[in-house]
Amino acid sequence: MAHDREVLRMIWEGQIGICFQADRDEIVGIKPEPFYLMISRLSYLPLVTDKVRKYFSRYISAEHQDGAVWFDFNGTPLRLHYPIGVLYDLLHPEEDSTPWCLTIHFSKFPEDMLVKLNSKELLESHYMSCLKEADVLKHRGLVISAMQKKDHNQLWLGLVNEKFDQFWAVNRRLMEPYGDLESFKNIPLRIYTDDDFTYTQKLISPISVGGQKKSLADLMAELSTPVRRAVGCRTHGIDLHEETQLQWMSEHLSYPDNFLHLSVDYKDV
Amino acid sequence: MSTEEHVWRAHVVRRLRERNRKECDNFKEIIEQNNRLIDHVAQLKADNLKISVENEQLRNAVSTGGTGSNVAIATLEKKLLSQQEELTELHKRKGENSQMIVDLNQKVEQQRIIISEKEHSLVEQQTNNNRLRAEVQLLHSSLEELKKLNNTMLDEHTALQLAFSSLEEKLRGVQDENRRLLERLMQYKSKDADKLNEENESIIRKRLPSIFRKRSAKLKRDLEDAVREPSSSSNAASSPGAASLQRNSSPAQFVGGLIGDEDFDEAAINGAMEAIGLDDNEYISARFTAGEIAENSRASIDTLKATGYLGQANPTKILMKFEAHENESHAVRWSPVERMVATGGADRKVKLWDIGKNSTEPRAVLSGSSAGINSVDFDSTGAYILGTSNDYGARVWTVMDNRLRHTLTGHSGKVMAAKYVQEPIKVVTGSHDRTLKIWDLRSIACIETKFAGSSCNDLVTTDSLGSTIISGHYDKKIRFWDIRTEKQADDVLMPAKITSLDLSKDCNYLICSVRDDTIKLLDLRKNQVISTFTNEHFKISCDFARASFNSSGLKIACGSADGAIYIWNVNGFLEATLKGHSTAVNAVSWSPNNNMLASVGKNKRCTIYSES
Repeated sequence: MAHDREVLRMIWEGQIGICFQADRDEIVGIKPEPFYLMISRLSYLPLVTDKVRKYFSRYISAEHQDGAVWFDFNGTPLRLHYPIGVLYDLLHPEEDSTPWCLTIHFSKFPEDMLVKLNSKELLESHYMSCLKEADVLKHRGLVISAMQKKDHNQLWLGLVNEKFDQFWAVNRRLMEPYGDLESFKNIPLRIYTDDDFTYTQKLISPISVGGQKKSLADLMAELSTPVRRAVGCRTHGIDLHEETQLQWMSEHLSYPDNFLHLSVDYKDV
Repeated sequence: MSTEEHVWRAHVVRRLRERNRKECDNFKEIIEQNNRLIDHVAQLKADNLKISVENEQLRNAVSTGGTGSNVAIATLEKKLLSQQEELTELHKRKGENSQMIVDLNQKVEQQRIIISEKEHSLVEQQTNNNRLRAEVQLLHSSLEELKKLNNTMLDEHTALQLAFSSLEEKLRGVQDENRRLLERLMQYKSKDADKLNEENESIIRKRLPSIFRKRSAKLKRDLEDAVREPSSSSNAASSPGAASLQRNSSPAQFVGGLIGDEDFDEAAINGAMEAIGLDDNEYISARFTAGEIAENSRASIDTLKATGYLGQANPTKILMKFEAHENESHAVRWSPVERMVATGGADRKVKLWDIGKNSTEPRAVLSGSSAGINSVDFDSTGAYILGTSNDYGARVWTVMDNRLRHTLTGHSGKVMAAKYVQEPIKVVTGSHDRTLKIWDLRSIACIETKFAGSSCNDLVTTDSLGSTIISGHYDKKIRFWDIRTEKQADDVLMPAKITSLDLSKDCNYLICSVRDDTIKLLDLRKNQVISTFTNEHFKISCDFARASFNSSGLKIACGSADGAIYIWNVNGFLEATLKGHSTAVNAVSWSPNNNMLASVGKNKRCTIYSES
């Protein structure tokens, strides 16, 4: 199979312009200027907002210096363990071309809606859990378990430090079919239908019963029900051609946690 | 296959480029520049702060004067700091040492306090110990005293019981005596009536007027006694004690009257005896002399004197006269060894007088008595003097230094006489409490009490009869006591109460002055009256009038109520009558070595007579 490095690099280098602003209720003294930052789509909010936190800490009272930091967009708290690209695709209006405005908070953490990730070790654990889940779907977990600990660390550090070559030196083995097989056993994917961050997972094989490779149209057909029909699919901010092969999509359009995060549109029959 | 793959791949690539342009390319540069500017501002602020700090340091350096001085100053400051640290360290050490000293001083002080407390406790314990010992000793003494007191009270109880018994007996005796006296009074009154009739007959004849006057005087005295008796009866109703005393005194008065009449009869009898005596003397003198026999008594006395039968002349001249006491004098006694006289008076004193050849010097005043002195006496060596007093006590003084040696208390009435029994250990005293007491001068205690049953007026002691005491009493009896047998040996009844007793030197003869104005001579070997001395002018002056033997035992002297002193020969006749006192004479005493006589009376005076 040919690995399309162009597509991989374009996916890796995708960035979003975000404008961070402070919560007026928490500001003590003069109002700070908004803080603008270009953030990678594949990363997570806690990993890239240290600079933002430091910038706004000077403007809040001392008692909130150690508080848990969280973000919201128009009143909706953002899940800290979702990739930033997924959050953007679900919430940002498609027609709006200005940077994404988020509000940073240092207090009143919404315990009932968000999971508190106080340290980067917790986020790393979550990432590793997703990797193992994806590998179980693709290779029955054989590849991820055959790796050494240092390989796991290399994957995480490559992601944190935004090093493409360092990351794909190890991730390449996770994107190859095992043995003499031509495809994964199942495609790891998560299907988002609404803007409430809930997703659906189904066992989708890349090979059809007849032995042919499945395409996006086949996936749409499987996802349709008698009452509604799937009509479109987006990921990484683009809509996909219905003839795109699922195996290829999984190899090239997955996020670093090896999952396809698909936003599916439905139309009522 | 390749064509189909190409189509959807190209679609993906194209879509991705459009996404990048829309989402990133429009404002990626401007956002990156903004971030750079923010970083630059932060960097500049940091640089500004650092430069300010350096500026301040440089300004300080300029003010301190250069780099070289800075180095020197730094060195000096370092030295100074080290020195200060060292000083601080030394101060700290000094403080620690001071604290240590203070702590040690506190410990020393505490130890000292503990030591003083221990010593104080020790002293306290010793004090307690001494106090308890003193208490024990005191309790022992108290116990001893209580025992003695108990014994004394038991003795006194016994004595009081005996006294009570004797008083009851005495009361019955007195009542019987009163009854008998009344009967005799009736008899004598009828006799007086008869004599009055005789006198009426004699008045007709106008003979013997003096006898008539005498009878008139007696009759007057009887009438006074009769008048006084009802008043005493009324007093008896108001005061029983006083009544009993007055009843005791009233019979005395009656007795006095009766004795007067009896004296008259006895005087007649004595006159006859005297005549017989004179005849005997004349007979004797006739046999011894070649001269003629005289008929009257004066002639016979002169004859006796001339013949030297008496052997001694009488002291008839007043040698000296001096005031012995402040008031009435009761007692007089010559010292047995030197020319010294002791007198006792109602002024509570015993006085000693040195009798010179023609003068008298006061030698000493012996005091200690609380009431009048009744009698004085010397021991045989003349070293001690005994005095008895109305304060119920007797006293012993030493003559040499005039000090009071003993006080003998225990009698419950006036002590009338005292004598040595066994010199110088024992003394016997006689009292108005109707007892005789024998005293041990070594323990100053009464060792024996004899219940006589009647007031004792005088007593004498004799060693030749084996410690015999002879006492004369109010009830007209002379009692003889043998000390060894603890009981009365004998008694002799006299016609009236006894006022005094005296023994001859050989202790064979006893004279007693009796209230019936007579003096009796008793032979102690027979306890019989062998002679009676009296005179028509001689009257006993008081209940304790004293008579005295002379040293040879051949003469008897006694004072009279008329102020004269009468001297009789033991053979019965009057030898001399001495004048000089203006009032009654109470006591006389013969000098044992010289022919001198001392006398005292109611007029405070003492008169010394010597031979002419």
